[in-house]
Amino acid sequence: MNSPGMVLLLAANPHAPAHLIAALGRQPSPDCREAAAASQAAARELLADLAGDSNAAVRRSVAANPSCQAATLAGLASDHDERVRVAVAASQAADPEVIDQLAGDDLVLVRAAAAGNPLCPPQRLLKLARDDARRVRHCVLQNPGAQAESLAAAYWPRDFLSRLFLAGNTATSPASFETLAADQAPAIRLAVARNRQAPPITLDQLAADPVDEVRCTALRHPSTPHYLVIAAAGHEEPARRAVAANPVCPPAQLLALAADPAVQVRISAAASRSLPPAAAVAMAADPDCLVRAALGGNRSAPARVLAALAADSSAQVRRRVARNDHALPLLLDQLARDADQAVRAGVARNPSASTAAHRCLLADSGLDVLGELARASRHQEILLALVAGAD
Amino acid sequence: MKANSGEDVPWPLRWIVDRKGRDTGFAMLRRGIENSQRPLFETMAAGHRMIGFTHYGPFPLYHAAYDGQALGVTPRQGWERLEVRACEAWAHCFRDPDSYLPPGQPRMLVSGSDFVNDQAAWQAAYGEGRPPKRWDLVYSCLPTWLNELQKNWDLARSCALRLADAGARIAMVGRAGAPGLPLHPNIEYLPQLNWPAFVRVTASARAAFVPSQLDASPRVITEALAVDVPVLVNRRIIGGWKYIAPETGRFFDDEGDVVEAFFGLLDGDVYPRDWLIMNGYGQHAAAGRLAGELRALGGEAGHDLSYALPTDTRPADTRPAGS
Repeated sequence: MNSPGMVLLLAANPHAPAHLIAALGRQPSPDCREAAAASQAAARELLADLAGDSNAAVRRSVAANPSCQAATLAGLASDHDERVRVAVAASQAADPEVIDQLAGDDLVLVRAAAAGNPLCPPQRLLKLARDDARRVRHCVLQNPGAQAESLAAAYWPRDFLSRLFLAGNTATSPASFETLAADQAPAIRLAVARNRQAPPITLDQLAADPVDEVRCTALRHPSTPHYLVIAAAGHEEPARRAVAANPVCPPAQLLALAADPAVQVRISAAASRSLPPAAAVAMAADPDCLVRAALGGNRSAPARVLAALAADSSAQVRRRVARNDHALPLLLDQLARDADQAVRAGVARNPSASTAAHRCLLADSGLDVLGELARASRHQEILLALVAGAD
Repeated sequence: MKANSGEDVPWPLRWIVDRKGRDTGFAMLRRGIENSQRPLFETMAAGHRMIGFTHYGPFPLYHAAYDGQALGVTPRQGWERLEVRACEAWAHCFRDPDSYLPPGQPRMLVSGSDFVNDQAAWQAAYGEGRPPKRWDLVYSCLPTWLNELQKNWDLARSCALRLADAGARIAMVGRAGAPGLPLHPNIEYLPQLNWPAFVRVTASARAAFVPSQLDASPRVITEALAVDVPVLVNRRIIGGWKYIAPETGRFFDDEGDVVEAFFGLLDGDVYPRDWLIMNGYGQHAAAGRLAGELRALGGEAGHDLSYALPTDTRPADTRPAGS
């Protein structure tokens, strides 16, 4: 990998050394300054400086950076470039007065961004719900902070998109969910089934939907009544797979699904965070390496199971353990010396890996390994060594 | 995010030109015609043999989202539109064409996304050097209703959260400033990018994420393959399914299996660009295939039909003098 490539990866690392980001912010190349402005590691003072940059893409990145202070955003609210104003209007770090100001912008895109911001003042949102531009009204319907009055004002039941956006909004009322769950279009019912705020009574209805996709999505939902989930564990394969993927699937059902004849069902069970330890131990010896790989990536898999999988003959299984951020550091130390480069790259990107493991990987000849260290390592010693190497 | 622009005809219509940009005697219809476009359509159809080109959701069927004015009609009533009836054959994308296309007319499995300019994409991605793999997945959806519907934003955000929770780093292009964004440190929202910048972001990812269902011509798939990036694709996609092979990507069904499908793809051996080119995709190869199909329809004598490229630019031999 060339040095500019390594620097870009380092800049994208949320733990990048502050002096690297500050130095990038002073570079003549707009790409470097944009990378600094977008960095999660950028200091607020640097962002304030870059807010005055001559390049609009740099200012936009400042406005979109969650660390940007409200005062800096207020200054950018009157930027002549619409992309900057859109970023300010959508920012959750902006003061409500600033969002209110941008909600009156001449450009639809800017008003739309304000209309989708959960911090948009309620009275202004109600006004936006009656905006002439359909895009603005659609953004109100997708705003998770919208009040019922605004949603009602923006909603046109004959408009397919209105129904789709309302069905996907977590702020939608139980009564609206009930109506939308009976919509003629499966896509609308599917959006309700996917909505984390859909109430159990609605999910009860959707779990019996005639369309497989809707029914299975409802069966995966954590709020679907347990008796339905338990019953579906004995149904056809797509339903069993959905049940195994339900985060609150009861242990008895998961235990049974872990031994299901269908590989896809066992994969879903192996990936479940509710998987009982006894099932995990049994699944570590599953004949299908895709099942073992799914188990290797499971954060709730017991340490002894992950240790067994770290010695699996399949590199695919070891790669999943190497990327599992609940694997013990000692196990990752061992995998840092694996013969497979992708396993080592997995350790390089694993936030639980020790400094020692990452130090060992610094000498790795695999470009993917070094790239992953630059992009993801949390250890300043490692990052400083990579910065020095890139200079 | 288009490689070309400057249209001479409205979006629903396309000329088909030969290698030298000359008229082939054929033209294409990509969606229903609006009243203001009808005179142009009629002029075009009077001088050309019209081919239907499935490019816009489930067109030529009606769909409530795409054809808001057609409320209360059945999908197949879309076949009764005058412009649809004017088409003598269909270049389509469907696994199950009988469900979408009028019966009794010749069909060819040719999509707009087949015509990806693979060389321009490669140049845009790697002309200034190979970008590092900053993201695991790239997803693109511009902030318009059409994109949010066609790119299946509802499924995309639901899957993105699961993928990000599993440690995948995701770039979502065109989503900066959009409403209802799931906040996660592994998800980065980028603004709308020009085409070369978008292709470069694609090349900076390990895979392209395509949860689209109603996308009939998912150019994002062929552009990713052209820059040697594999794809993770919704199994229910209506177009673009034909590009998915063990060498190019994986299907996923829903939020329940997307994470495992992604890791399967990440750990698999893939050769996306080689596969794309060896299987007759890319602008020149697709133009050769379309020409063959048009010859089979008995293409007009006096026209070169060894190459047939759909284009928004008026054929060179029909341009008014001085233009």
